[in-house]
Amino acid sequence: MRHVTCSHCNRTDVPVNESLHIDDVVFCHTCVNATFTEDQLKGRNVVNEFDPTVCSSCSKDFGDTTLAKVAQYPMCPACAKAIEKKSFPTWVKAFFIGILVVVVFSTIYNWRFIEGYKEMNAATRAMQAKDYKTAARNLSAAFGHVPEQQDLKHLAHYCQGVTFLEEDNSTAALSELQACVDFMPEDYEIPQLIVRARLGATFDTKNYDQYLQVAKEHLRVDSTEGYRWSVMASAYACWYATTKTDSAKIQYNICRSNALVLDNSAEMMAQINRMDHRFETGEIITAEEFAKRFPNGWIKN
Amino acid sequence: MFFIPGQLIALATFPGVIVHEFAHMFFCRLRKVAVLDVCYFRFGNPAGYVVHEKTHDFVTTFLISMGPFFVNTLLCLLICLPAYLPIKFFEIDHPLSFALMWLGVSIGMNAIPSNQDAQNVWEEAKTHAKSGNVLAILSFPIVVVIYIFNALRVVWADLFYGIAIGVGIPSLIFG
Repeated sequence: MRHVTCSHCNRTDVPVNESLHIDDVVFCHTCVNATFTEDQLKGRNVVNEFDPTVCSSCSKDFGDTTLAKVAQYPMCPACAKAIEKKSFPTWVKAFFIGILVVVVFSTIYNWRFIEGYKEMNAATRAMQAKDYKTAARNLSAAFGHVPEQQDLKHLAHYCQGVTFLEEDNSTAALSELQACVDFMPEDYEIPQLIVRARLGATFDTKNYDQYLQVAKEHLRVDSTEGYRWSVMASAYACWYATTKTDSAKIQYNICRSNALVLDNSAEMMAQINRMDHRFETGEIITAEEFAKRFPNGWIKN
Repeated sequence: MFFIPGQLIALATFPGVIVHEFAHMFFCRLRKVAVLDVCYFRFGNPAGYVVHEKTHDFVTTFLISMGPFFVNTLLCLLICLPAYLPIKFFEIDHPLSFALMWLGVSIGMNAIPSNQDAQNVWEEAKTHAKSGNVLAILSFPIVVVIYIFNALRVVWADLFYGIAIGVGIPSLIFG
């Protein structure tokens, strides 16, 4: 225990815990009570000093040993432990650690949804920009993260199908589009895309008989579009190139005329030029190869 | 609106009550303020409390009183934010996601300091505002808002706050 000297009665063995500092002057409790009224202490700087060798909680004297403090109170290890136990009991610590674990768990467990969300947004942006390849890649990745959401898979099939159509890989496109046709809304017009894919697939496999059947199916959807008549002309050109029948020749000319009546754009003219080449020469080549061989169009000699 | 006794609400949102008192305790410990008594949860009114020595530093008073607002709000958001996506965006009704939402919202519901906390800030702010303490001056409207909010608890203001943080903010972020 430490002592101070009272500046009023000059007692030298006043325990620190029984003294007060009033405006930086030391008084023992006895002198404070005898000298000051409560009103006289108002407005003065009164400080209660704590003896760092005496426990503030159990008042046990630890001699010359300076005790650790809890807040500003010197506290023996046993009392400090008791307060610690009371203020932060084990169950509360465990509870809060549990909450932190939940925060981490929630983030980790749901991370796949965050990834899926980001990929879906990227896919939506790509679809708006008509970049179906990127959209398909992002939708497949999103479905990988959120397999519970089957719509992602169907949409990925759709975008992949459109991508294959754009890449003239009709057989692959057909497979992708058929995988999603039963699940997609009508405004995606999957059946029409399937017909397009079937046209491409039958043409690619040189199944011209089937190609003609699909072209007829394609025309039945809307016979006011020049493009559909040009497809019919293409099918009849193939049919004529392989069979040389008169009926094919007649039908080709009818379809060719209808296509040009309904659409006389430069694009249509180029397409008809390609059909004419096929019809006249009997040589069936792809649009890509035709463009390579006849960059300025084909002229009948 | 219908009336449910506060004790039942406290029971249904007990994690929030515990986190609220924990936040008070945390800031007491951080600012080296001696705690005289603490109750993290009980079936009574109030459902929890922390009794600490009087503070003289306004920042300390402010932090201890307002601590639950920051801690509970932050935890509510951190728990609900990732749990929101599967429910709302991907429409996956997994019980775990709903459990996380309940936990987050229950913590958010207990974010607002009590009237006793507000009163502590008010009393200290009156003294420190005179010496030009900006935080003390700013505390006056905050305390008024807290009083109004606590008055509105009868019309589920605490639930609406929890939902606003746990559901509203994620919906703003994720759309």
